[in-house]
Amino acid sequence: MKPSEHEIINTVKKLLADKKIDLFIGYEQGTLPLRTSPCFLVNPDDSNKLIWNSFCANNLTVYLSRIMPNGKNKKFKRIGILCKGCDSRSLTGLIREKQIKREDLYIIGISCQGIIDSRKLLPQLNSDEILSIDEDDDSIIVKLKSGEERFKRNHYLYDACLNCAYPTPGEYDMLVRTAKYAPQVSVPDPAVKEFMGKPREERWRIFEHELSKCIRCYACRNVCPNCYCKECFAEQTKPTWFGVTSERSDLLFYHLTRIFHQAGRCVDCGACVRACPMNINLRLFTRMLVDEVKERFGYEPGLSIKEQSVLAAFEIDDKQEFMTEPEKGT
Amino acid sequence: MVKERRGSVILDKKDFENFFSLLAEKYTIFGPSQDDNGDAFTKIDSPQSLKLHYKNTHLSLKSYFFPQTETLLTFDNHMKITKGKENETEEQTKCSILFGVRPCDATAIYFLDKVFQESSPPDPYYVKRRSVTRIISFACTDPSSTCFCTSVACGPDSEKGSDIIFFELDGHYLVKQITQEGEEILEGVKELLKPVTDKHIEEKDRSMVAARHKLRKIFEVSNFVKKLENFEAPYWEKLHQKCLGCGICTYMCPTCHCFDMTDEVTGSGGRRVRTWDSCMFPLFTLHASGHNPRPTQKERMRQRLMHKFNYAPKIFGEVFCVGCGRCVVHCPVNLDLRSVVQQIMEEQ
Repeated sequence: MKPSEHEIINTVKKLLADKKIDLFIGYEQGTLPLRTSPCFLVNPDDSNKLIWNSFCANNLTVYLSRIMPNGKNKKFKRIGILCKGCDSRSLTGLIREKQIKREDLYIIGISCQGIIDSRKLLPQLNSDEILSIDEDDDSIIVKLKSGEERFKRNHYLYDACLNCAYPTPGEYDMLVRTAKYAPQVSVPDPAVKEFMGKPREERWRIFEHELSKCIRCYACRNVCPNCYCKECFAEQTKPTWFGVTSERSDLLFYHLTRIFHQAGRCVDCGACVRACPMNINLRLFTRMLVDEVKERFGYEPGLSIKEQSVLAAFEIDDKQEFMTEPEKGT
Repeated sequence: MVKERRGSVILDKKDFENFFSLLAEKYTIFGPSQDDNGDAFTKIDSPQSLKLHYKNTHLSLKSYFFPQTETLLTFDNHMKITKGKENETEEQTKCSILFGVRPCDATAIYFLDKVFQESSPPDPYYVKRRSVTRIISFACTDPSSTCFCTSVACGPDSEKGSDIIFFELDGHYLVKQITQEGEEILEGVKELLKPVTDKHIEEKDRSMVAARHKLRKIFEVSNFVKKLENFEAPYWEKLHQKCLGCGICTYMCPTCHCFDMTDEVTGSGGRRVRTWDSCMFPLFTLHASGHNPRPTQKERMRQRLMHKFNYAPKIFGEVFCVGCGRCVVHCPVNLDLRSVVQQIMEEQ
């Protein structure tokens, strides 16, 4: 067991035993190779099943507004939760948008080394049976039936992790430190830069092609901590905002609206793209907004509970040429 | 139901291209090939583009017969109604063959037949597509680690839903006809077919024993069906905890078949459209009054499991799960159906 995992287990055990928290949300071993699964603990003795490794992908903060609708739960008055850098930014957003109260949480922050994208690593294993997985600061070590193989960690991280400026949480009650991860961060994101370098028609073609793959399972929305609306526009029937079909116009309307609702709020945790069963590169479009908001307004969401939301703020020198000179737009 | 007929023949692999060309003269052929997301069924023009060694296709075959979006009828402001399918000017002249289908996906179509074709009244849209489609499946020798077909009364050589099933042998295919339609297909290519010998049958049996060996049986489905009789069992309170309520499991599932119908109206007229729906969504059961009889994910997840493993056996005599594992692979929180079943089985 890694020291970090040990530290998490002991802390949670004590928090639950001392009744400092009523519920802890963390990760347990998954049933599939290279996967973990969210778990919910109320009993201190169950803490031993908690794990921490480079496969702990889920953004657990998505559960908070479900467990505490309207910021309350009679049974679980205070919840403990494990947060990576990106998750802590989601959490900060939820607190700031008044979905949950800071004092109702015990946050175990963990400095993250980036999460391994199983869709990148699995094909390398040639469907060989995995006996065990270990990791050190640079590598993922997979023991296969055919022998041991080492994989360079940085080659298999999620795209969002490769360009993550805040792997260490800013908001926490206790911080578990692992090895330092300091990726080369670039704004705009390399994928966004490449996309924006293409002619307008080509961009539209890619946009349509990607989003036309959608099967409207709404996983992108349901895994997103920002999507806490009690009634989503996608499900409103009086009036309906768009059609019910899987035809292109309906798919594009859903996605455009979902993406716009993320403006100035998305922390680029990558949960949507990980969840999408059709492998749609959803992150490309939300990351464009992230970069745009940073470039225009110098704002990055989720860094402080006290910050003012970019959409709720106005400065006299805010850039507004997109309104005054729309013809210059890209 | 067409009476099942027994009878196997041998096709040499070197004759496969001829076999394919002869079929293609009479039928439009769809088969597994590569797309953006891995393997998918597409129209196949040459045997070279067929990819017969594949795990499960990314999406199941259900959309072939039961598309996600289907216009049932259109109407204009003067109440002139046009039925969706009669709109089509081009009558389909050729039957289609779905070639190289995994037995689990074919079995799922057999289940959908019970819902859309053998129930009363039958669904004309489904029946029409089904009546002009033949299924040639390929027995599975290399299942995925997430497959559990042998646990749910399906299997790597399940014949349900198929007109013909192929078994791959060394240098040959053992071709087994299952239905009258299958016999008609083979009649057209009979010059390429050879009689089967005991040696071939033994080789086939060995490969299926090996495949079954890879597919560990993880639960006894009849016990699970009985176990679910307790609708108010306390375990439902916790099983759904992780579930985020997306529709992945239902939309990736080859047997889930719930749909919604909507009238879309514009200034000049409108249409009635049928679309997939999912019991995982709150809107699925939301009443006009605002009341929702399945208010939380607990009731929704219970519905999904009960429908597949308790109601379907009562109504159709079959568990509506073929063990393809798509829900297992794609669940964003790794809420694994196999472990859910195991958890329920362990309950007192």
